[in-house]
Amino acid sequence: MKNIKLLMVLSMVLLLFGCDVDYKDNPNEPTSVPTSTIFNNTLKNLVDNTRNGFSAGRFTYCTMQYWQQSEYGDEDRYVYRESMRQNQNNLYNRLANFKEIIDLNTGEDTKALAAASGSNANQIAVCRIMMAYTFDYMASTWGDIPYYSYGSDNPDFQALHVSGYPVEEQILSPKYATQEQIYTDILKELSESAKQLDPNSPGMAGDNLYGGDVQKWKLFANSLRLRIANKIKGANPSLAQAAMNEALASGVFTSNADNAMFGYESEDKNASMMYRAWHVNNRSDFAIGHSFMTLLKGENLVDTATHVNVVAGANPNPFKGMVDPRLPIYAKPNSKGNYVGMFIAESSSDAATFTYESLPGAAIIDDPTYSETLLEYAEICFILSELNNWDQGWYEKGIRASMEKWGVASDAIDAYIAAVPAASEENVLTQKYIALYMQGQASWAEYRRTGYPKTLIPPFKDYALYIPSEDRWLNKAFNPLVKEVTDLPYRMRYPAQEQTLNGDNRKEAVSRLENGDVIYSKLWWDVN
Amino acid sequence: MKKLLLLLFTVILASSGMMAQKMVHGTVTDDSGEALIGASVVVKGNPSNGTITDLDGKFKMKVANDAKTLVVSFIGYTPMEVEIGPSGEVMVSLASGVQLENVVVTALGLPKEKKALGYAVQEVGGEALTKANQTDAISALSGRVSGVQISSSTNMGGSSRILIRGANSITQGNQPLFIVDGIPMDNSNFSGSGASSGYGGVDFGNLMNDLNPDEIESVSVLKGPAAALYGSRAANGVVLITTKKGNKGSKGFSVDFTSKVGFESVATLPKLQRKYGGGAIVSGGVNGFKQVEYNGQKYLAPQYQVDESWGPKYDANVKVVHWDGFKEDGSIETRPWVAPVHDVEDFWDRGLTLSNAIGISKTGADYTTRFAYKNTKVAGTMPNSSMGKNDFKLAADVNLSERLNISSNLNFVKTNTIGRPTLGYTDNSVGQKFFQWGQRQLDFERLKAYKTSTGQQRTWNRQSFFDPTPKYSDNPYWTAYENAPEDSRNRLFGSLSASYELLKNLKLKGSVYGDYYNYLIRQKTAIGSQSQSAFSEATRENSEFNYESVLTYTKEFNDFSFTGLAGLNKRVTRYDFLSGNSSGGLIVPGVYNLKNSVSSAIINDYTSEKEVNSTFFTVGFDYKRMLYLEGSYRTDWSSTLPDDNNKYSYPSISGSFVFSELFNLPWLNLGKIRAGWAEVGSDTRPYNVFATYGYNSSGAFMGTPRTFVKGSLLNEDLKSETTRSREVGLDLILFNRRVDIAFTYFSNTTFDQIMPLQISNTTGYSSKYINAGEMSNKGVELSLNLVPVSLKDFEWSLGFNYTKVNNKLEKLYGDLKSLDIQRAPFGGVFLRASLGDTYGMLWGTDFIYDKNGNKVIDSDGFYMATPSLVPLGSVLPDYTLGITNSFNYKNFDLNVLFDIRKGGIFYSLSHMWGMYSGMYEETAGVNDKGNEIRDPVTDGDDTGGLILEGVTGTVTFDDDGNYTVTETKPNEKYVSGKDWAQGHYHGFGYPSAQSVFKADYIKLRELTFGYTLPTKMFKGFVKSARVALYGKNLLTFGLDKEGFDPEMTSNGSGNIQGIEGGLQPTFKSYGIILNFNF
Repeated sequence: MKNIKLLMVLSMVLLLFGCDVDYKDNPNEPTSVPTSTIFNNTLKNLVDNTRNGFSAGRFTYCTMQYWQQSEYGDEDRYVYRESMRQNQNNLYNRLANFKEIIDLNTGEDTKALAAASGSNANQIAVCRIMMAYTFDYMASTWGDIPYYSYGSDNPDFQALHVSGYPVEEQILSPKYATQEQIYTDILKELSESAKQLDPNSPGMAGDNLYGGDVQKWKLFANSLRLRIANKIKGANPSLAQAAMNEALASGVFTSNADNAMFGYESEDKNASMMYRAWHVNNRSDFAIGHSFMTLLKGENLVDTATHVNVVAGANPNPFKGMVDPRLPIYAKPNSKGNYVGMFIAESSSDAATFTYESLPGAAIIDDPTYSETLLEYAEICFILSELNNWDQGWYEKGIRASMEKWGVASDAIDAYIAAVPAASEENVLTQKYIALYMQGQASWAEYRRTGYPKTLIPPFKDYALYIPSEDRWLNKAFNPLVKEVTDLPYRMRYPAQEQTLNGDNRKEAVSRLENGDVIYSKLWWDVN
Repeated sequence: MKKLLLLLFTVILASSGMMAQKMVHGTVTDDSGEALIGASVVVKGNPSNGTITDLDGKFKMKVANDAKTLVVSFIGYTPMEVEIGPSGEVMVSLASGVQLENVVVTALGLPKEKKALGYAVQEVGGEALTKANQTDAISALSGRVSGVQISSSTNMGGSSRILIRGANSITQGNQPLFIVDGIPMDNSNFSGSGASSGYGGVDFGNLMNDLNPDEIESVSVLKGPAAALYGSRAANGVVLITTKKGNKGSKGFSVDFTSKVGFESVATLPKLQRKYGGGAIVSGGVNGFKQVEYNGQKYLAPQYQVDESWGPKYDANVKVVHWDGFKEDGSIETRPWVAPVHDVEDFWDRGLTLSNAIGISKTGADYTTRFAYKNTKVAGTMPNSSMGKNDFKLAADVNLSERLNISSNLNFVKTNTIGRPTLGYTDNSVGQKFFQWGQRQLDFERLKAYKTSTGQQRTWNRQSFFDPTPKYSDNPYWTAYENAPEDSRNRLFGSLSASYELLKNLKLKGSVYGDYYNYLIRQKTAIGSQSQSAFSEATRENSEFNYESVLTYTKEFNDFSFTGLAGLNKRVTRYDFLSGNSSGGLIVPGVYNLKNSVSSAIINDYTSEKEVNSTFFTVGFDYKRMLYLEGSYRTDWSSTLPDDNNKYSYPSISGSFVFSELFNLPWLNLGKIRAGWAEVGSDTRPYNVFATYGYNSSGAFMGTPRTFVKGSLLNEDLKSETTRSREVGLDLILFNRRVDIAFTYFSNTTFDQIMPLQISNTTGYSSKYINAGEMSNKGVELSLNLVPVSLKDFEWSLGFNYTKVNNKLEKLYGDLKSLDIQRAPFGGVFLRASLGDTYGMLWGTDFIYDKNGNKVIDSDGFYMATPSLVPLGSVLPDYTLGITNSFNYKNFDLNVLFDIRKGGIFYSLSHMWGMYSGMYEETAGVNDKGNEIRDPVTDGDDTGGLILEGVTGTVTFDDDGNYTVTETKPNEKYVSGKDWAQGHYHGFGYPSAQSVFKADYIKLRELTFGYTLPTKMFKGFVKSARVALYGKNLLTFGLDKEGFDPEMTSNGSGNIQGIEGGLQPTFKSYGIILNFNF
C-alpha cells in the first residue's frame, strides 16, 4: 500500500517536469507550393477584381456610359460604395502575391524549387509586368499610392515592405509615392522586364494569359509601355517619348493574335464575371447606356425641347447615320426587338418604370467562357494613328482589328470602313472609345486625357430618349449626386480605412490633390 | 514540490495524539444535504478537542472515551448538539434559517464558506433560473448576477452573450469559460460573422444551449481573481455550474417530474405604414398605376418589380391586379387597392414549447445516483420551424472504502432543429423583406399560397405583369418552407474521478473530463428561388479532454488552519471541419445532396489541434476564522505559441478580514472586507505563428491548381497575453439577516494582447499577428438583498444587481488610433476599437450641431453631415441593473424580475432602408399643417412635405474636420417627404446617425406566479408539488426608437455587437409549469 502511495506521489513529481509541449504545425496548409499555382490564382483574381460588377459594371462602365444601371442609379450619379473604394485592398494583396513569386525566384533557398514552374528570370519578369499593369490601374484610379518596385531602394517606395523583411524593417504604414515617381518607375520596370524575358528558357507555368509564351509577354510589356507612356505624355513629354520610341523599337502587338485576353471556364464557379452576375447571382442590374446606344445607332444625343438638337455640351455623333456593325454583338435587342439604351436613373422606382432597355450582348453576359481584354491590337493602332498625326491607315486598321476581335463579318467591316469619316482627333478617339467597350478603365483614362468622346451625357444636362415600340419620348435629366462635379469623375476616393490605418501618409497624399480626396481632383497626367 | 510534501508529512506526524481515546467520525451537511466544508465539530465541554469538516463535509477525530456530546456549528446555521452513539458515527444536518449567506462553489468545484473568500463570488440557485422556463442557462442569468452583462436574442435556440466585468480582449473572444461539474464545456457559436454583423446568416446559437437548465443545482460566477486558478481561458471569468446529484446521507429514493407548456408571440416590431401601397406612382398612369392591356382588357397594375412602398394611396374604389390576381387558368382577378387585413405580424406563428423532465435519485449512506431525462419539443415562431431535444444524464458517486471514492457523470444531448431564422441583409432573411424592402399592401394570408400546382414559386415581386419569376424577393413562405436550414447536434460530456485519502487530510484526486460533439448543418436554396439554387452541408466535430490530478491537504492547529492544493492538468482539444457547397446550382429539385450539384461541389476541410499542460498550486491560511489569506500560482505550456515562448506563469492572491468577529453586535451578522489581485496569462488560437499558403476553395483553374499568400501576416515571436485584475469589496449582513450587501470595486487590464492587428492594406496584408494593446475595465458591482417584510405567512424580498463598467482602450500599437472590428453592410457605420474610447465604438457620419445642440440643415432643407466618420457612441452599456422582487404568501409566491440597461447604442440598417423604401409609419405621416408629407411641396397652405427640425447656418470647417456654426436661423423649408425618407441613406451624403439609436431598455424580464400544493392532500405519496404560471419578456419600456428593441441586434456571442442588418422581432413567452416530487 505504501508503495502505491509513493508511486502516485512520484508520478506527480515526474509529470511536473514533463509539462512542456511542442508547437503544433498547421496540418491544413502547405509551407511550400509551386509558384505556378500562386501565379494562376493571382492573375485570375486580378482580372476578377478589375472586371466585376462593381469595379467595372457599376464603376467604369457606368461612368463611361457604356452601361447604366437598370435598378439603382447611385453609382451612375457618382455615389460610389465604400466597397468600390476598398477594391484597392484586393489589388495590393494581388501585388503581394506577385511579389511572393519574385521572392521565391530570387531567394537562395527557394529559387531552385521555384524553377519547376519556369525559369527564374522569366517568372520574375512576368510578375514585374503584372505588377506594372496593376500599379498603373491603381495610380490611374486613385492617384498617388504607396508603391513597390522590384530591386529598387527608393526610400519613397514603401508598399509591400513587410513579408521577407526583418521585423524591425517592416513598414506597416507606407508612404504614398507621387504619380510621377510611380510612372517613371513603371516605364522602367516594363523596359527592364521585357529585356529580362528569355524566350530560350521555360516560360511561366500556370499562365492563363499567354500560356507561358515568353515572346508574347515581351510584346505585351512593350505595348503596355506604349499605352502608359501615351497616357502620361502631357505631364512628362520627354519621359513618354523615350519610352514610346523604345517600346516601338523593341516590338509591340501586330495583330489580334497578340492580344492580352483572359478567358474563363464554362463551369459556374470559374465563369466570367458578367456571366456570374446574370446567371449565378441572378441579377440583371445593367443595360446598355443611352448615350452609347445612340452613338452605335448613328444617332445624336438630343435635347428635351426639340428632340432633334444635340444636348448642350455634347457634340453631334461623328458617325451619324452609320449603324455600327458591332451593335448586335455589344447589345441585345429588347423584348420588342428594338435597341433602346437605359437612361441614368434618378431612383430605383424611376429605373423600374422603364422596361424597354437593351441588355449587353449574349457573348458578354451569356457565355461563361467570355474573355476579358487587358490590351489589344486595336488600341495600339489607334495610338499609332494619334502618334502619326491622326493617321488614316492606323485608324482604319484599328477599326478593323476591333471589329475582327468581336467577330464582325468581313464584308460588313469593309462596308463600314469605306463609309467612315476620315481620321481626325475626334473620329479616332471616338472610334477608340467604341473599341474600348468592356475595357472601362482604359476608356476612362482616355476620356480624362483627351476629353473624348464628346457624345456622353454631360453632368446636369437634360436629354431625351425615344421608345420606338410606343413611339414616345421620355425627357430625362442627369443630376450627379456630387454637386461639385463639372465633368466626369477624375478619380476614385481612397479607401476610408486608410484614414485610421495610415492616416498621416494619406493626409500628406491628399494635400497634394487640388481639391482633396474627392472625385473631382485631377490626376497628375490629366492635363487637358 | 518535494519540499512541500516533506513539510506536509512533518506536520502530520507532529499532530498525532497519544491518550485513551475513541474514534468518532461522521458527515455534516446542510438541510438540503449539501456537504458543509469547514464546519466546526468540538467536544462539548472541551472546545480544544475539535476539528473541521473536509471537502466532503466529513470529519474524523479521536475523543476522550468519556466524551458524550459533540457541538457542531457553522456560520449562518443553527449550531447543534449531537450524542455520540456506540458506533462512533455521527450524521448531522444543520438547519439554516436564512439562505442569504451560504457555502459557494469556487474554483475547481471546491465548496467554500462564503465568509472565507477574498473575492466576490455570486451564486444563483437552479430554482431561480428555471422559474420562468428558461431554455438556456446563460440568458437565465440576465439580471441575477452583479458584474455580469448579458445580451440574448429571443430567436428559437438563439445566441446569448455574457460579459463578466466588461470586455477584456480587443479581437479575441470575451466569453467566460463554462465549467459543468468540473467539465470545461465548449461554448462556440457557429453563426458566423454574417449573422451578428448584419450581412446575413443563420443564428445557430451558442453551444452552451446544450445544457439542460432543469438539471442545474446552482451557478457560481467567478469574476476576476476568483477565476485565476482555471488558467488561460478564465481571463474572462468562469461560469461554474453544478448539476443535481442527489444527496449522500439522505437515504432514500426520490422522483421528480416537471412538465412545462410555453407559448411565444411577437413582442416588439417596427411600426409600418398602412396608407400607401408598393411601387412608385407612375406619372401619366391611371390613379398612379400603369395600365396594361391583356387579352383585350385593360388593367391597372402595381409595380410588382419595385420592392419599395412609394406607390399610390389606398383607395377601395380602385381595383388593381394584385400579385396573386394571375390565376393558373390564365384569368385575371382584380381587387381593391387597400391595406392588408393580415399584415406582417401575422407571418409569425404562435410558438409552442413542450417539455417533460424526469429525475430519479437513489441515495444511501455511501453512494448517490441520479438518472435524468428531458424531452423538449418546440414549434418556433418562424413558420415551419421546430426543434426537438433529448437530454440524458447519469451520475453516480460511490465511496468504495473509507478512503476511496469514485464518481462519474455522463450526459448525452441530441438536438434537431429545422427552420432557424436567417437574419441580416441576405436573400433568406424575411426581416429584410418586411422591414427594409417590400410592398405594404401585401396580405399575409394570401402570401401563404406560395407555390403553383406545378411547384413554381408565386412571389409578389414578379419581374413584370407578364413574367412571374422573382425579381429580388422570394415569397416569405417560400423562404420558410422551401429554404429552411436544418441542423443537428449530438453532444456527449462527462467525467470520471477517483479520490483517495493518502494520509489523514491528504487527498489525491484524479479526474478525466471529456466534452465531445458533432454538429451537422444543412442549408438550402430551392430551385425556383430568386437566387441560384444551392445546397451546403457542414459537419464539425470537436473534442476536449482534460486529465487532472489534484492533491489537497487541510490542517488545523490552534487558532490557525491551513489548506494546500497542488494540481496538474493536461488539456487536449481537436476540431475537425468538413463542408461541401454545391456549385452552379442544383440539377434536380428537392434533392439536397452534394452530388446533385451542377458543377462539382466545393469542399472545405480544416483540422485544428491544441494541447495545453498546466501545473497549479494554492495555499490558504486562516486565523481564528477572522483573517483569511489565499494565494495561487499556475503555469501553462501551450502548443499554440512558439516553442521558446510557450510557457507562462501567473499568480493570484486574495484575503479577507471578518471584522464582525471582533464585536458582538446583534445587528451585525457579518461584516467583512476583502481584496484580491490576480494575473491570468492567455495563449492564442492554433496556427498564428508560422505562415502557410492558402488553397483556393474553388479548386484548379484551367487545369492548374491555385494557392495564395494569405492576407494575414503571422508572427514567429508571439508570446502570451496577460489579464491583470484587482478588486476590493465589502460584505455586510445586517439586522438579523434582513439586509445583505456585497459591494465590489474592480479593475481589470489586459495587455500584450495577441491580435491580428489591422494594418494598411498597402502593405499587401490586411493584418499582422502581434502582441499589442491594452484595455481596461474599471467598475463597481453591487448586489443588495433586502427582506423589507417578513411575517408569519407573508414575506417580501427584494434584490438588486447593479453593474457599472467603464471600459477604455488604453493603448493600441504605434501611431494607430483605431482598429475596425466590423463594417456595417453598406458602410454606414464601422464598429471600431478606438484609442482612449470605450470598446466597441460605432463610427459614422453624424449630424452637424450648432452650439445649442440644434441639428444644422443645409440650404436644400436637409440634414448636414460631418464630412468624415466620427465616434457616435459605444455599443456597450454604461450600467445594467436587475431588480428581483419575491412575495410569498402562505403557499403562493410571486416573482418579478426587471432588467434595466442604460447606455450604449446600436445601428439599424433596417431603419435606414425601411425609411428609404417608404415602409415605416413616419414615411406616411402628416406635417404641421395637417397635410400628408407625401403630398407635393407647394408654396401654399396645401403644401405636403415637412420641415426638418433644426436650424440653418453657415458651417466652417478647419483642416482637422472641426467646425463652427454661425448665423443660425430656424429652418422653415419644406422638403418632400420621399426625399427626406430616402435621405436616410448615408450614401447620399446625409448622416448615418439618423439610424443610430440608444440601446436603453427596461424589461419585465420574468414574472412567475406559483402555488405550492399542500402535501397533506397527497397523503405522503407526493413529497412536494407546485404549479406556476410564468411570463418572459412581457413588457419593454424606455426604447429610444419605438419598435426597435436593442436585443434585435443580439445575434452572436462575439465582439460584433450593435449592428442590425435585417431584423427579427423580439418575442415574449408565457406558459405553465407543473412540478412533482415523489
